[in-house]
Amino acid sequence: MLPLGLSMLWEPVDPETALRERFGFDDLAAVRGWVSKALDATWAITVDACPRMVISDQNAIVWARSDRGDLVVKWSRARERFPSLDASTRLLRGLADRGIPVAAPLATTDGLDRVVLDGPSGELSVTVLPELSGDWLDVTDHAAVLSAGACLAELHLALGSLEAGDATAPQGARLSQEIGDWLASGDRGLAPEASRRLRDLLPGAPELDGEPQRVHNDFRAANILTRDSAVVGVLDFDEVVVEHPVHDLAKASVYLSTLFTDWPPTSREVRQALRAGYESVRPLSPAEARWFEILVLWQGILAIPGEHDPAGWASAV
Amino acid sequence: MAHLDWEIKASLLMYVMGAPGGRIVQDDAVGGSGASFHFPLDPERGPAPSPDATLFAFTGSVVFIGHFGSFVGEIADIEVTAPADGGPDWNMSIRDRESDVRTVAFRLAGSPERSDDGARFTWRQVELTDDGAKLWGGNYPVGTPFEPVAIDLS
Repeated sequence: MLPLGLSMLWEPVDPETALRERFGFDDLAAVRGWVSKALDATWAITVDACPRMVISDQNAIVWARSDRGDLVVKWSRARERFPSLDASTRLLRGLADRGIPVAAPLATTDGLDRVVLDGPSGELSVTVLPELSGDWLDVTDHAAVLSAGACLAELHLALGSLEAGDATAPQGARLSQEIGDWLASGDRGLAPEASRRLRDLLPGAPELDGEPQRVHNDFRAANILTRDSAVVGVLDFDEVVVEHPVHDLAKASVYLSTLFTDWPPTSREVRQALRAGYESVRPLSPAEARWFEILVLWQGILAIPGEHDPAGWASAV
Repeated sequence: MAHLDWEIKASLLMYVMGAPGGRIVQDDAVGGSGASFHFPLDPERGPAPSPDATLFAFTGSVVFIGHFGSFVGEIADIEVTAPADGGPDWNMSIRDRESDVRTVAFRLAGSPERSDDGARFTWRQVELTDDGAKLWGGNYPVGTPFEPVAIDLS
């Protein structure tokens, strides 16, 4: 957890200076005053305290205690990012409306999920979210992993029902080509036996049915909150891309165990539980099942860090 | 001094700065705060371009190191070029300094938005190309959005 008070996410600069130069606030007390006024005027929310703020580049997150519970207030002053921030807020709203456990934006009194407000030194694109509470996914909790798999499937179904925009997407044939190219020129030879298996599987890969769609692309323990072995929150939609859902499931299978600075590979048993949970909601087609095997293997090889592999990623493929 | 401003990809920075052994390695030419990067104009490859130039060349390198020291990718010696085929999109290429191979890795969609004085122009939509996706070892598919790119000539 980030420290109380004002901090930088990782930039090696003085946070007070960054606060003043980037956003025009003299100190955290001034932030508290501005947030209180803004949330009262625009959201009809009464703020009691702002115990924590973190700055990253032109963006900031303020934690606030309020009459609507614990909130996070997120803003950016990077005008070129305003459209993409609007889009990500719409995505969260769309998922929340479809019953996915995400931090649904709190609407303003005018019914808006994100607004541009005047800050001390320029316009800020601001949204207010509830602070989700729960425990990070524990992959040794079998029921929680099953729940995570089911949640990922529900997330795929929900994302599939939303417009994918105009992003380009890889198709099955292109995926074969991409992996083939990687085997030919990108493979670092860190797991030769696994690479050989991948090379053997690829020629027999069937046409991948179904359409590529938006997927989470970073579904792992660090982005999954649970309570009583059930998923209560999915975080961080910053990595969303257009891919086939089975590719996202494969990537989640490989990285599910990773949590902040703890980066172990995901065991076979946990991968099986994740898939079982997934297929309880969205069964894989025969073609997807074949591709799942290929993609887990490929992603597993990609995840091997190098010769220095203290967590044993090479032996996990 | 003229430069290119780029946050590259916020989630990528988040990953490398959070993973064990992860870090960002930037050479001395690159400025910025550590959460966004300023790539200075390369006076040899692109001397004093005007706002109407069709090539902007920058120097500097940022390398992303992931979990347990794994190489994730490198952004080096950026060049931004105007559409050559009459299409609307600009290209942004980067150079692999080890092999000296240049790859058009990013598509800058449409004409840039220009500031009132014309000295700063911004592309809001930046996407990974087919060739660019290969540079990221399968981690990012074709079309993956990256952060907006701005060239500042002031």
